[in-house]
Amino acid sequence: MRFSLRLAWRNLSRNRRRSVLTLLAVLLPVLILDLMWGFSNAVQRNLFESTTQLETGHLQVHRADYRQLQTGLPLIQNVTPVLQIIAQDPAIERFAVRLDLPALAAHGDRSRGVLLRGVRPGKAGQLSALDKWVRTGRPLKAGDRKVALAGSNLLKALHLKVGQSVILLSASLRTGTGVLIPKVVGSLAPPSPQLSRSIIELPLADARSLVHNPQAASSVVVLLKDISGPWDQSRIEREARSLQAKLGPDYLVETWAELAPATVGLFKIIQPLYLAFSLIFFLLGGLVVLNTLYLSVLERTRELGVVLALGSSRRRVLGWIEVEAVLLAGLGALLGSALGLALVGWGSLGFRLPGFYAEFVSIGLNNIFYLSISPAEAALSAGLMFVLALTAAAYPGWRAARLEPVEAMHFAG
Amino acid sequence: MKTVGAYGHAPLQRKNNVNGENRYKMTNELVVRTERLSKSYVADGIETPAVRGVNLKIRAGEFAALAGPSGSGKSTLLHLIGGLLRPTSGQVWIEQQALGGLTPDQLARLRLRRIGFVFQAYNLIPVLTALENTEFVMELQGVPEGQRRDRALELLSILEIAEYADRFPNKLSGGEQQRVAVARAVAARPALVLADEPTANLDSESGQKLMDLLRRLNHERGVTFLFASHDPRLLNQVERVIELHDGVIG
Amino acid sequence: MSRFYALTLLLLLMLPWAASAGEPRSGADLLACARHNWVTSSYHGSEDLKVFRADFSKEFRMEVWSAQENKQVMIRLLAPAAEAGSGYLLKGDQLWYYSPAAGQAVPLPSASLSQAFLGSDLNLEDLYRGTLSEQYTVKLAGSRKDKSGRLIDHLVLTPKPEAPVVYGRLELDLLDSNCAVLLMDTYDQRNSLIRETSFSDFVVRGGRVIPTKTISNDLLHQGNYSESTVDPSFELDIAIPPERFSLACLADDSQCGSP
Ligand SMILES: Nc1ncnc2c1ncn2[C@@H]1O[C@H](COP(=O)(O)OP(=O)(O)OP(=O)(O)O)[C@@H](O)[C@H]1O
Ligand SMILES: [Mg+2]
Repeated sequence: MRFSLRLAWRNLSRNRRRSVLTLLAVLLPVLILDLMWGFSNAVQRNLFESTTQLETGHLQVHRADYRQLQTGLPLIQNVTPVLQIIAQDPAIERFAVRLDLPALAAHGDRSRGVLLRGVRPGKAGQLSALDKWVRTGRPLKAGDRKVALAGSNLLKALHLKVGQSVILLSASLRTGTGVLIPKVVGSLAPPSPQLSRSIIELPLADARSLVHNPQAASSVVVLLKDISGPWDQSRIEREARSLQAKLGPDYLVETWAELAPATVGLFKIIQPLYLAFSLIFFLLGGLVVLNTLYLSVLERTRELGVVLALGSSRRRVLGWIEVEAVLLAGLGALLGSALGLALVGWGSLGFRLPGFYAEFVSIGLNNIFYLSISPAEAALSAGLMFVLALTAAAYPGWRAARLEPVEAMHFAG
Repeated sequence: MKTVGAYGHAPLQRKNNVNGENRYKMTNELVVRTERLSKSYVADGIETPAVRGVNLKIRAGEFAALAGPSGSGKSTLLHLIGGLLRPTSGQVWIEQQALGGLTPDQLARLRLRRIGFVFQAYNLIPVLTALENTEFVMELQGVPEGQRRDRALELLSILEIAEYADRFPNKLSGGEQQRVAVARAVAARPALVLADEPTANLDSESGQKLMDLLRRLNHERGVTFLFASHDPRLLNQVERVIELHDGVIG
Repeated sequence: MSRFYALTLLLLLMLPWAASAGEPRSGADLLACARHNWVTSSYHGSEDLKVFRADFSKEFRMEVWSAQENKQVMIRLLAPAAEAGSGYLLKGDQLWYYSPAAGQAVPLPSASLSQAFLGSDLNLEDLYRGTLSEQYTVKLAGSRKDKSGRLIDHLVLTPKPEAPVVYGRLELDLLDSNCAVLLMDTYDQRNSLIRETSFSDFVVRGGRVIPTKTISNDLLHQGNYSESTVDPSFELDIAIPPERFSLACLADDSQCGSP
């Protein structure tokens, strides 16, 4: 075996350029795949975070019947018992109370249907506060009353300016009519233009005054501990079931995936796309390995003929070619992994893609990406390429083993 | 493979008794026997008879050569004897073993254990040093590393190239390369060494020197040699010349 | 609040008048006859609307004025106390809402027309579909006698192929003798019955037969229904000053002119 290894190693160093090329053919797909998966994970994490951090949380608690209720507001009339249970759950990192209300916003002779979001300004409301989207003016502050922030498209539609007051009307059968005339202190630029046309953020207490109930909430948004991306879904679901059991049948605990099916749908598009790309890289890498090993066998035909004439078994010859392939593929996969992981590690600190702000924002991404790759994915990209390279080497190896010694020795190559 | 394994290394175990005398001369043990051996090549539908009805016997310890003009079938006959080609008809026996019934792998085993080859040129494995090339066949045979090394170095010094042991073939002259090839063939302790035009690529001085060394191996170690050549310097050195004309011994 | 059912129905009835005397009456004739019961140049009355939900009910009281065949409508809420003083003004296809808390009339977006009015089982959308009648093909599907021996005609209204109509079909039961509509069934596009509306407690006033009680059942939501009662003291075909249908009046009763 040591002899075979030496022979293989010398053969590889004999034609350095070709060996380096083969090495690259293995190394590059692994490197590119690691980066691509790292980026795919970054995009997924980005989407996941912009969905969960600002919109859905990991979990949300609603009234059990909120999906069936068509009229009247699906409000939790008294949210305090829910909060007591949530506050004691060790798996929960933080939570926020939200009061989402359909309402009417009017200014002058214009009005629009809007979505009011009542949040607790400041630290407790972080999960819901739309601070990240504040474009002009200021975000909500703790202790704010009768102020609001509105989507910039909504401001345009209502001919409303920051500093002016807006009439908010909310009406429902159960709560009756509520009227509030807050001052607009800032504008919001959420990623979705549709949201920008309809969102109004205001202090939770103000939203509650519109429904004449100081305990009301439409949902409690929950962020769990140690969740980094959609790959943690099974843990999220487990926690949802456990929280549901604690809260009982009056409440419905849903995961972000149920609340944001569009994002889940996006993942379903991204994943096969990346898979297809990966496959192409693998195949190209495999073909280059096949080609170079085949050429190196062809070049050595005469010499292999001598070896066979001297009495080497075919298995042995096949073995040498395979050892060469193992060396090349192993080294390539190792180097590719090392480089790929180093780059992914570097990218895990977060980076921005210049010049794409609008494009990313329009599909709900933040223009800051954190690359990541799981050990399983890294092992898979290196392992798959390794196996593929060995498979590609099988053909030249088989060709070499099948040489007729006399003909091989007369081969003019 | 019991047929192959049965041969062992018996004749060479007695090396220490040699004392410069060729004790192996003229034993009656047949190393090679062929019977009505024929080989025709078929290319593009045209049949070329290269060897026709050859009956040949080579005894252990012989130092013989096949001679004849170019195209007379020397190489073909040598390859048939070495089990590198299958005859069209007839049979070859190596030490009583008929080659006809053996599978390619069995033939390879037989070559490995019993036959050494020296070819005209491009003999050596370019990525291995002279020493490693010499060890190569022994390595295939499974000879332990230390023993392998000793035997290889010994032969290299007999063949007067021990100082080049660590050189790669492309740093050796043609004559030196051929001597390494001979060392490789002999080190494996075969019953028979087949050498096809071993001097063809050498100048007369190197050719002469190589032949002297081969002769010495034949004398001192009882190695049986069968050459194919039309080089008169070689033919002058051998004990027996087998003339070949148009594939027929004449 | 039956005014709204009346308005809805009215739109259905705005079919080309095609009756010719003497011949047996067609579906279109019957519908036109029913429409006659509802065509008023003006109206003023007070109504109660009770909205029932599985676990909950709520009662509204309101005063309603209308003119120009319901092209102008003013609704003033009188009860419950929290809503008292607020009101709606409908002019053509524009709608305003006034709340004392807001202190000014607010224009409502057209989308609010399709939302549940005061949370009841009604929306205002249909009211503005002046062409609704032209969207339907009317057919007299049959006649029968009820328990008390009255002849009941059954009309089926199906949307014309290209009509932009949300409903799949409407079916009406009306009294053959005076064209009073007793029942209206609303079907969705998949032909399942989604709403059942019944009319009763008819009052004859000025040659018209007018129901004072309307019950509408939401069949998609168990236990959801609305009941409206018109005070019999309502007036028809009276003179209402045009200021009544102004934004000034909506915000301030003293600007409404004398009734
Ligand atoms: N692979 C082959 N296919 C077809 N014909 C062949 C093949 N090899 C050899 N021959 C023919 O067989 C005959 C014998 O060839 P061979 O190589 O045995 O001669 P040789 O005596 O060794 O000649 P030389 O001295 O030139 O090496 C020649 O006529 C040659 O053309
Ligand atoms: Mg020849």
